Amino acid sequence: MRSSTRESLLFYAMILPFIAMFFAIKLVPFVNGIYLSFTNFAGYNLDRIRFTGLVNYQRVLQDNDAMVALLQTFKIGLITVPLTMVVGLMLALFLNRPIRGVGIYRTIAYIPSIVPAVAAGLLWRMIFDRNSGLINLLGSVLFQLAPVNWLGYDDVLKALVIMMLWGSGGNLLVNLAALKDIPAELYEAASIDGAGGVGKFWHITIPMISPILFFNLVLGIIGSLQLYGQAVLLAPGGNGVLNVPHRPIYTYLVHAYQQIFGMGRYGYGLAMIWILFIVINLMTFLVFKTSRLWVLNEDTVIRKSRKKKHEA
Amino acid sequence: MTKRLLTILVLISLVLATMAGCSSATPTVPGGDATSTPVPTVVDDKPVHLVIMVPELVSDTVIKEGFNKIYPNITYDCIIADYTKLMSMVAADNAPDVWSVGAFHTGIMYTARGLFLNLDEYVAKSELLKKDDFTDIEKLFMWDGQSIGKGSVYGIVKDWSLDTQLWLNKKVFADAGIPLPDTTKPITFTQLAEYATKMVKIEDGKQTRWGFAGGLTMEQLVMFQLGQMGKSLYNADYSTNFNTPEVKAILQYWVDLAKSGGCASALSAPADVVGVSTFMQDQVGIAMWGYWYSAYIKGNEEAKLRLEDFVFVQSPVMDGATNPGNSCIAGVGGAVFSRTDYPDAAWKFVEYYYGGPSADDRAKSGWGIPMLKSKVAMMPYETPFDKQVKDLNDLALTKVLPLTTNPYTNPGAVQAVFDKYFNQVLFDKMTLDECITKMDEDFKVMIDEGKEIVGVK
Repeated sequence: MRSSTRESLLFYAMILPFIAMFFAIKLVPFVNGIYLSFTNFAGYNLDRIRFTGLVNYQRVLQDNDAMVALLQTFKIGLITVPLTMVVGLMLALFLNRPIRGVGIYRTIAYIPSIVPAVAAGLLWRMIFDRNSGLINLLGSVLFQLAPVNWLGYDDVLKALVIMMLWGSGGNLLVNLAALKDIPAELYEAASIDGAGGVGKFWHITIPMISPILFFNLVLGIIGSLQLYGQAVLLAPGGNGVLNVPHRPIYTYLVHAYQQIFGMGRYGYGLAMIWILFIVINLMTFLVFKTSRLWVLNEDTVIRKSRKKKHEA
Repeated sequence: MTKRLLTILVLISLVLATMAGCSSATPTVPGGDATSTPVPTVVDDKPVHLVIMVPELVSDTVIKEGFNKIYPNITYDCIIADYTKLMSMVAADNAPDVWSVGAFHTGIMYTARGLFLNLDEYVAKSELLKKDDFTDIEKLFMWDGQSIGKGSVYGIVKDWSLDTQLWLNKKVFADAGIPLPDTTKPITFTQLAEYATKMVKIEDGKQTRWGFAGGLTMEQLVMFQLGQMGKSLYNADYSTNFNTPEVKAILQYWVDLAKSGGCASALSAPADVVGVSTFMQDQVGIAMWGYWYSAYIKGNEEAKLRLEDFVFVQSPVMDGATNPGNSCIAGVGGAVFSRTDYPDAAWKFVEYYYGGPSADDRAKSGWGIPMLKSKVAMMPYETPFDKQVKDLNDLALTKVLPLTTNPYTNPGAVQAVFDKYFNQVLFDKMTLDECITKMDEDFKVMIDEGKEIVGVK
């Protein structure tokens, strides 16, 4: 057997377990989910399932609750994604300094992102409790503030944003790696040219870490559109995972979950999820398209230097 | 070791690891023999392995050993009852053989959808679960294709309570300066609101005590209150009857009570939301729980030292009620999945668990009123607390107000609809009229879909 053939066979053999798992766990349910979204599947009527065409998809677009939930999800994303990126970057800038005990601070900053989401949600639920929560306790003791109903209709969005900001350290590792990758000579040259801190930040740091910012932005958008657990955990209790969050945090996936496991509308819920998949792809595509305007990469550098050369 | 040999060894271990990962995906619960693969056979004396979904682990050695003395060929794994997990298993056509379900609503919902086995033939031959030993509560699991309470038996009620009864915390009454009412007579809903509002305690702007809490959902409360007035939330064909002055008045009652802080709600609630523990901690003065709660109190380390502080009374009564009474709106039972591969074996488990020695133990434990008449005499009656509770329960049983739910709706979905709109009323984001209209619309769609799935026009 030729060595190239042997190598190819070895390659396929090595990735065979992954391919098998991918088919079994991802692809088969993926395709099955698409099929079921075109049926009246209710969870237990597999023996009398009926193909319904695009009815479920049309229903999503006509479902006021679904559309309001989608808008609300966008709204939450518009708030949380930039905020978490900014806070994450600020944390990374602070922790990129050679300060004493920086390792401990980095660990503390990163820990929230590795706490399981359910545990974090329950923890924050207790912290936000109107009557016994830590935030109201500190507010009354330190600042004589009246208790706020953080989990109530009017303030629950703020509670959700605070909870999500707590996890901003999740991007710490990649942000730190990007910051450390910036050649020190650039800052030195800027200092020689008289640039101050802000100037260095805007003209060196941001452009140099823009690929990582782009990466965080894409993942942040995807994560915000898939928001579910945190919203349910902050919902008024009594119905477990079918708790209905207040409208300000009633997200699209919460509505989809309600449709599937609450109402038994599996086909409709799956159609909702596939529409979300399309929306996520569209948003990601738009971000990719705009990236050429603000993300520094090899192509951007070559293009700009050619432009300068041409102008010269 | 050559590179080639090392590569081969790595490949083998990867494949073995993948296979091991796949085979350990079966449910694992402590006490259960979970990793054994079911042996597919339906002959009586051949080994059969069942999967049972129950609210508590029925892998208790006593039950297993007792059951296996009679049926050594039948083994079982337990999965703790969880609605979402159950629905996922059903959707994957991998449902448990025996299910434990809420008797009042969930059970009949599954029955109407054809998910439970008709047990008439089994019951007719059973020595442990005899039809003439059934109390009326067993009607919750009877269905003739159109109506609840008639027709064939599709499940067995394990135990139940009159869930609309009340528990009064004497300490809270005293602290709030409210004389304890006559515990042999029911209080009215007006009195309930009055007491609950007086019991509210606010300290430094934070609520530390509520008047009323309980486990009933808003739909169940409305059904109960309407039932006392001779009305119903649903018509005979199970269509909705929401837009009535009575429904509005009842919902307004709860809105007012919630806004006054008198009852636990989305506006303000004790740490455990429904008062199941905070009642015993004197943070709730009146709790709506049934007979089963007496066992909960007796099992609490602190509460059991002060049982005299808690008194069991009848359900509250609507002013002008034509049918004052006490209702069951929960109960727990079990049924056999209609598409199980082992119907006979599954029935044997149901029969043993719901009618055998463990049923005696449950009756003696006080965790519920047994469904079987022959077990009722085993309910605890030793201590003064047991006697007060049982006597009051017996009094309440003389005035039972039977309620029936809607078999075409899903209880989780019903509560979600109420939460979605009613909570907005509490926060003044919606008027009550808008709330009722929207709930009515959502319910109509839910019921129509449910009827379509069941095949009823």
